[in-house]
Amino acid sequence: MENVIAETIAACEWYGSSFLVISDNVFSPLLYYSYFGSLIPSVLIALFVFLNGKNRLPNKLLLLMVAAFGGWIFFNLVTWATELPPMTMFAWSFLIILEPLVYFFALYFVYAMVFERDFSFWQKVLFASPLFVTFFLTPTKFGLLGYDLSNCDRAAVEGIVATYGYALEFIYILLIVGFFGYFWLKSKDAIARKRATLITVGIVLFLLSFSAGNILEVFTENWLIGQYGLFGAPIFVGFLAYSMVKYKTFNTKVLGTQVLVAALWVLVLSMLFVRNIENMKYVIAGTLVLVTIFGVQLIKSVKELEHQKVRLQKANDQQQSLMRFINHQVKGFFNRTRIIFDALRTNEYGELPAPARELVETGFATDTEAINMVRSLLDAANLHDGTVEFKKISLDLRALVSDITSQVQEVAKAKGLTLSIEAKEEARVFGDLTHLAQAVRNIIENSIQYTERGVVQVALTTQGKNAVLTVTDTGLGLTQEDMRRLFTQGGRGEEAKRRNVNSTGYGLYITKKIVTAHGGDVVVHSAGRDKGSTFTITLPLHKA
Amino acid sequence: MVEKGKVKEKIFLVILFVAFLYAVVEIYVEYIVREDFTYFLTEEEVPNQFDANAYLE
Repeated sequence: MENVIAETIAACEWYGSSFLVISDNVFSPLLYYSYFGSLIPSVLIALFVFLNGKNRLPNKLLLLMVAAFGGWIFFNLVTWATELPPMTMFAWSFLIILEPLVYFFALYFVYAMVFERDFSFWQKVLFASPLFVTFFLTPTKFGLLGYDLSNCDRAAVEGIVATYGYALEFIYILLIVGFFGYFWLKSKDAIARKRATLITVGIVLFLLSFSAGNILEVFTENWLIGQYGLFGAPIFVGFLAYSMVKYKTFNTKVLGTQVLVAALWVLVLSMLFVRNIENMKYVIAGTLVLVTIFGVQLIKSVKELEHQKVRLQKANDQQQSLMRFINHQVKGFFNRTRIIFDALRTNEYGELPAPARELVETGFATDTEAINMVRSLLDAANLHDGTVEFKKISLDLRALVSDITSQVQEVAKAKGLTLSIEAKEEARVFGDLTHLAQAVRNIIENSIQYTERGVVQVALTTQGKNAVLTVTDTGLGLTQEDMRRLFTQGGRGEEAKRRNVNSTGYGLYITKKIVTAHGGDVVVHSAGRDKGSTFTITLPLHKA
Repeated sequence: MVEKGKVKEKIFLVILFVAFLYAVVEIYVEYIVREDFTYFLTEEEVPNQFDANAYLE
């Protein structure tokens, strides 16, 4: 019997194969084009997406789906290429195991994308359990009945589990459509519905093109036509790329472009390997379709980016014009009323009755506060735009810190705080007097403002080539989150926001900008809420 | 503390993965190592998968 088998195999005159997949047994080089042309873009997309968000469930599922798809492509090529019956049996069995897995991951992926949540435990059990049947029965006769040597086709004879797998795939597609339909009926969000449509249509097209071999075989009994069905797989790539660009599905606009370019590169490269000129027509036609789809999407996204840029520029111009308006008008209004209040409170128009004096003092204080607020907003805007000109000179930081500390001493006293200063060494720095004074004042006043009781300690030392100014308070303290955003525009601690509703949150941002413009840095440390804070400004010393 | 549901879920996924590995190892041993399968030399010998007799030894 063994001799008969060996003789029959020899009579078939199959070609040998190398690397399991390269062989003249493969009926057409187009098969490589159709398989790798769909696999490589899919793998690139899945990898890019995964690397851009390793913890996102849809990203993991897309990678798993494409991994199973890649395995399927490889083992299917093995079945076409190999001349060894045991290898055919092994690879064919692998296909029976992998195919439903691709569909399962596709279902899971669509669910996670459309509903933006994971399957429940019981959904996982319900949808994954049918896979146990293929896992446990494929290695038995129910998977493959044997090897068909009757017509030299290098084919295995499939058992009932293979058909069970096809039925399972059909059910998974129905579930995908079902979940999509359910979402479509329930959701009122037009954008979410459109996104779900793109993802579902893309996946279903991908799966159908993947199954095309099986479907076409049923109707035409011709395996060969079905093998080109995979040309449809890049349509899925296109849909996915489109949904990325349009809806920022994976939060990476660049990703879509990179993948599109990589996919086109691979497709054009594969033309080099098509020797048959007749086949070349199909390759070019396929590539043309892809270039059209991807090209239109690229142009669209670039146009959209350009429009956004123009809109942003316009909005920016409007904002700047508003800032100029504030500068020239609003500040002017406050200034004028402040001058009036000042004249009244200094009795330029005679002694005021006590109740009127109280009102005038409140008006004067309010106007002063408003002017400071507008000024800090303008300063922040100018520092942000880089339009501030620093007039740097060699100055004594110790004198500056001492001056400011004595200026704010009254404010600290009024709150019942002890404001102390320790500045024994001279610390000469090269900087803009007005702006550095503003930076120092900001952090000292900030500590006074957010300390209810206790002390605010100011200390100036030199460490190596730097002057180090620390302001330590026994105030509100900061959480890790507070510290992270404290020096950003409008960034304030949560507790600080609650207690001081009038603050703009720009003071420390301005400080940071000024200090960094002088080659220094400002940091804050706090052991936590109600445990006080320490602000540290470091500036390079200037050698006169 | 890990949620109870998560533990159940992990156990299920591990079982699924082990079943997949079992299938891969088993087909490798069955077909590559032992080469234990039937050759059908003529068209008449090729069985129909829907025929129960095809699965009997």
